Amino acid sequence: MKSDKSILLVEDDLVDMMSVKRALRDLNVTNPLYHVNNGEEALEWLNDPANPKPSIILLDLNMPRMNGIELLAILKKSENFRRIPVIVLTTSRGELDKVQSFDLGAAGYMIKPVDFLQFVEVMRTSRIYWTLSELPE
Amino acid sequence: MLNGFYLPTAEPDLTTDAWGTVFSSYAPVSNSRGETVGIVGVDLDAGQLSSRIMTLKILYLLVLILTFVLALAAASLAAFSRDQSFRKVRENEEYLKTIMQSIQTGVLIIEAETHVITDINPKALELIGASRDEVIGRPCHRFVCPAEAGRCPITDLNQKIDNAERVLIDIYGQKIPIIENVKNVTLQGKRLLIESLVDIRERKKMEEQNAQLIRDLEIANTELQDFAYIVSHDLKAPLRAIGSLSQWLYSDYRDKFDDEGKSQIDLLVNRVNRMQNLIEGILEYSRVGRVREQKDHVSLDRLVRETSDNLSIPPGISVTIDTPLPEVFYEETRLGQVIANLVGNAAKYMGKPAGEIHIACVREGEFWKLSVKDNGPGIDSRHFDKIFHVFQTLQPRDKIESTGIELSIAKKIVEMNGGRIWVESEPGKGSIFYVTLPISPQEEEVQK
Repeated sequence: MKSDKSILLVEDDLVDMMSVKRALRDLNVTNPLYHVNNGEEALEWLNDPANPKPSIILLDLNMPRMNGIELLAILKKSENFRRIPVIVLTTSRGELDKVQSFDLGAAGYMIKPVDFLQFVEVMRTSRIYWTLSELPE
Repeated sequence: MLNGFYLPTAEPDLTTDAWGTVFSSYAPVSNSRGETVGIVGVDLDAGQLSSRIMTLKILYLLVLILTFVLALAAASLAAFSRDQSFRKVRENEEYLKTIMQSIQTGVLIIEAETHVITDINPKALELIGASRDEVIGRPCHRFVCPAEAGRCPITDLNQKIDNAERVLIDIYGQKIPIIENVKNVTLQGKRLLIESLVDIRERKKMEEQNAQLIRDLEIANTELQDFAYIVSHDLKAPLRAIGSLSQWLYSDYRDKFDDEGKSQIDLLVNRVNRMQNLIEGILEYSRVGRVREQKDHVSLDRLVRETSDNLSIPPGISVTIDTPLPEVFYEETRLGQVIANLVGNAAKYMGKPAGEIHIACVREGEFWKLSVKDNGPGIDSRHFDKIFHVFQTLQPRDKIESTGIELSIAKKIVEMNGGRIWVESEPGKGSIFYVTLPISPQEEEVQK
């Protein structure tokens, strides 16, 4: 992933948002990070032509108004957004959440560890993968 | 008549002299010309005569007596046998009556032709709430049976009523749930319906209570599942925040923390992790019952080896398989969890850097008995039950970091699959944990 490509974080918890920011900072990831609070805000943000099209979306599942699964279903039906890799970033170990996410074409499913250092490791692994993986323009 | 002599009849004369009573009779004997030629007389000793008569009389009397006695005997015999059969009938009647009266099943006798109730026992009367007079002679339909006339389930609709759940209508029109049996019989040329009824109001009430209980349980279970989900999401998120923020506090303000502050932050992070493990433990424990896996043929040998390898057991502790391990029909992931928890616990609580864990399996009747033996510190027998309870540990958590959920999960899995789990141990002599795995019929087939 080129460093000018942006990342969209869809996350309602402030500390979790801070965790992602800190982890990326600790990993020296300089890509611009945009943050929205739920699925509805994410759609608004994506549909606003003033905003850049993100190269990757980090998606929490459990959110108010429109949750991650609902947003994922809409994104994968959309001609514009269906090719953006979505990495689910959640607390849920529920089998149903995993199955639904992959059924809807999620690119990955990461569980947020309690320990921040472990979380940094999760982010590091994700980053290595997406740095190596080719993405459509 | 004597040789041409005419012997006229003479009145016999009875005289009594000193010699006794003489019965004598005389008659003149005349010839054909009418001349008397002599006298013929007969003297009979009355004594002799009377003794003959007496004999006759006695004989006659004897015959009479005999006849009388015989007649009497015959009569009394007849009376006796009549008496006997009367008594038998009476006894039979009493026998039947007693049964009808005391049987705790309602009995109704109904004429099939007319549907008129001809007999009823007290239990049936009690059920209907009527007196005998109110019932006898009345038709059964719409009175005790909800069916319309002409729609009798037995005679018109040809239904068989064998232990059928039906309703009885009592005198107040109330419907009483009953178990009914009707038998069609022909007695003395009459077709009769013999109905027996058992009141099942109590049972119905119990059934309803049970159904309610099941509904309540289902609600409680759903709530519990929801609770587990809430725990996973809503408690873990702030917990994670606490953990992260304390780590950031430390890393961002490192120069402002002294050693005391640093160790407090360490403790804080440690407790956050412990709470995280407890929450995960609760979730895992609840998941064992909710998420069932398909049973499959599992090689216990492979599973034990794989599981032990994944446990990252300290190098000083050896895991040995002592006997050949069979193939079992089980939920593989769950069985792996049981093995991981038993072997993991044996390693975790070894209490010394070097130790031995031995795994063996023997067949015991319908079960495989799997054992995990260690040469660790052993367990006092008073703790044998306690260690299988949720979150019970024998060591302070600061000494050995553990939730104590492992054995509870193992117990839940084993018992849900029809087996048992227990421990045999003595302090200082190590412990053996036993698990029984039922041998299923399919497995039996595979073995053959």
